[in-house]
Amino acid sequence: MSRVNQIQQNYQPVSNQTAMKNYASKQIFRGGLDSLPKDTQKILLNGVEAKIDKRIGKSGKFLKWIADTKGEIQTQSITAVFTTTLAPLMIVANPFTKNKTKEDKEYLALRQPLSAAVSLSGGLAMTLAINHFMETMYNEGHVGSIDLRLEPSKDYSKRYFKKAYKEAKKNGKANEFLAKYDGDVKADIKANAYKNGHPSKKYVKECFKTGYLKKMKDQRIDLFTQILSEKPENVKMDSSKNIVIGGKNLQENHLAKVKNLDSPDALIEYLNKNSFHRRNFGDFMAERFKFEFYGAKDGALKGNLKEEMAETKLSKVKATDFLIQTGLMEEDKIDKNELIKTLSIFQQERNKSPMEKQGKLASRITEMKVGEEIGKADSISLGQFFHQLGIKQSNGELQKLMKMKTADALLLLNGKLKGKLKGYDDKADLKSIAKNQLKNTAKRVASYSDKHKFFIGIFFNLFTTAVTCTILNWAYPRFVEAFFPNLVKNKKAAKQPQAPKQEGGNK
Amino acid sequence: MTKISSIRKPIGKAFDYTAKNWFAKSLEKARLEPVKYAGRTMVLSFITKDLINTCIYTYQSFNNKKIPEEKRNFVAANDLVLGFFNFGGQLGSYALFETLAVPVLQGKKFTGQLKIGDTPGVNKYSNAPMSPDTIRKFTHEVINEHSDVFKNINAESIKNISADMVKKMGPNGSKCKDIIAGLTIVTGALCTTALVKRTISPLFSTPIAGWLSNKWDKKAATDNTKQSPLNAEPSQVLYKGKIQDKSKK
Repeated sequence: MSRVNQIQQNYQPVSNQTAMKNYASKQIFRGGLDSLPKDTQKILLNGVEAKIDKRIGKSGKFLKWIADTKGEIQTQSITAVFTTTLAPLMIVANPFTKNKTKEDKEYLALRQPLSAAVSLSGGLAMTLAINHFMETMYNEGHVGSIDLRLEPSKDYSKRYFKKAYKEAKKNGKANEFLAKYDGDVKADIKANAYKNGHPSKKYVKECFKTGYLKKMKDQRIDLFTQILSEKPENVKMDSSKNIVIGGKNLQENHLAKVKNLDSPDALIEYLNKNSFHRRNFGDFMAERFKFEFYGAKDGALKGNLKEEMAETKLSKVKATDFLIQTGLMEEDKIDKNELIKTLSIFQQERNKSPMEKQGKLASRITEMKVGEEIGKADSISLGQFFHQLGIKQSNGELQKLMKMKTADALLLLNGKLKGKLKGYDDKADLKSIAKNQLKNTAKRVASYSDKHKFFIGIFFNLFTTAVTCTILNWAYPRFVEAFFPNLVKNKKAAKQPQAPKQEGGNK
Repeated sequence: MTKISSIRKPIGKAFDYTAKNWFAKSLEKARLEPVKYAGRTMVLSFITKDLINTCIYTYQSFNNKKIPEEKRNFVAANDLVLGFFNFGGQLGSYALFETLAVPVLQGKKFTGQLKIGDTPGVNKYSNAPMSPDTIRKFTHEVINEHSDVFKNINAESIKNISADMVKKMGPNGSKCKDIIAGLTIVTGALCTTALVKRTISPLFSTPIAGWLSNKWDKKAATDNTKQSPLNAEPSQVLYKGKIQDKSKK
């Protein structure tokens, strides 16, 4: 009998109903993955991943490579393969064309592989150039809404890694350089790291992925968390263009400096736009969610929840999305079941709240059992959530919140949620909230950059297509004349007028 | 370097404008449903290229003197008809693929989740590599294999750990989403490019192109016979390369 079966057999379930009623004052030990030490977590994650990979086989790696968006490289390669193989066959072996000669069909069919070669070479060149250019634009902060300086992309960071590795190799310290970043490399790759004294490609790749890239990302998130959550007056730049707070150099030992933040003017401009102490919470919300709010009309205050939610469109924003994107809670720690129960607990603590008047809605929440209809729990809207926290349009609290600076708004919400929402970190302060928020922003913006790059790539590839079409139409007849003259000459010979037969003559 | 950065700034502003105004909705939708939009962007890429290809190839084939005259109409007609078939065929086939095949692929192949047409309560595919049951099984296996590390662990912890592993590695995990996105792209490409563009389209476009080019050839031949000086009426005299009708004077 396995150990797991043994434990499960001896398990005595305990009712947790009493805990639910007073959970606000009790801390429940969840005993989940986060409760394990990091080494143990790694063993578990690597072990399960290895079993999944074994089960899926090599196709899994291939499919993952296909999905790794590098613009149009994958789609162009797929198109070229089929253009070269299938298309000529379908033209030549076509049973429906009876009135065209074999030479005509062959003439047409030969065009396909040449077309594939020309369009693939032109398309790949353009795609690689566009990818390189767009990565530079995103990672140097030139595209305002897709700023990857928060968390540099893999391809961009690789440029710095290659430079540093080359430098280390030149100085004969390549092994020391790699040893700095191989802490998280898998044991089997580490065991075969060196062949004949040279590091293997796989080992170098893993050192970059799990060590260098991770360190660079962590350094950047820490830097931006500090400069954006700190009051802008305290963030300065020293003579060597390092960002400094209270005399402490924040960019010490950083793997790469942040581009376009290397002068005091650029720093001030960046902070004025993005600092939590300068930016309005309303602008922050508008960037992420579609919502509107109005001042009280003609002095009449609205107390009806349904009308308010319809006006503000906060009914269309999910409370879970709001909590994740503001950084108030981490995505993994939000429990939708508990969010409903929290609303019902708020419900019990308030008298004659609008939700009670709704009747049906309130009773449904209090009666809802865990695990049942939980899919619909995702419909808890921000409007309902704000309403429970006392932030309404009718009492002007919503307008006040939107006009506050982001830092103040987050601290206000933090105060209201402490001790009331399960899984909420009661020790959360502005810095930890800012860190969560920036991590989430970086994730969101990275996904935008992939797709935006694809759209821009499609646009520029249209010009490439025009050029490759012209090249193909110029090259194709010349190619056929040079390599397949029989397809051209036979017809030419047949076309020439035949000389009349001379009969007779001197015999 | 300042020259380069001064060029990049206005280009960056232009890209920023496109991201905020043209593509804002699509970027957000693609972020929330990456698998669906991976396939759709691929088909968009195919279709836009085919449109441009059709226009340019047809025009240039008509006017390419290097292609033998008797073949020119056939080549141009083929480009034109192929363009129509490719555009409509790829759109239609991908729409069908998305509606019928994708739920099946996602549901059964990798995640073992019930999709349309399956009997509720009966999960025949719970053995799929990344279904919740399989992930739980693998978690228990790893815990058993490393029993010395997982010493002080109770049953409720094992239950919670398995639930967390299903969250990370299961159907909603990033690994699963990447693999399904790749599968959607490959099977979508087979459906559109291989099946429609390179097999069905040339199969049906070649005879239609043949019929069309014959029609153009006949029309060109009748136009030529009308104007040929050998067939001219006696009153019509060739004068500086133009036919002058003397009878009208």
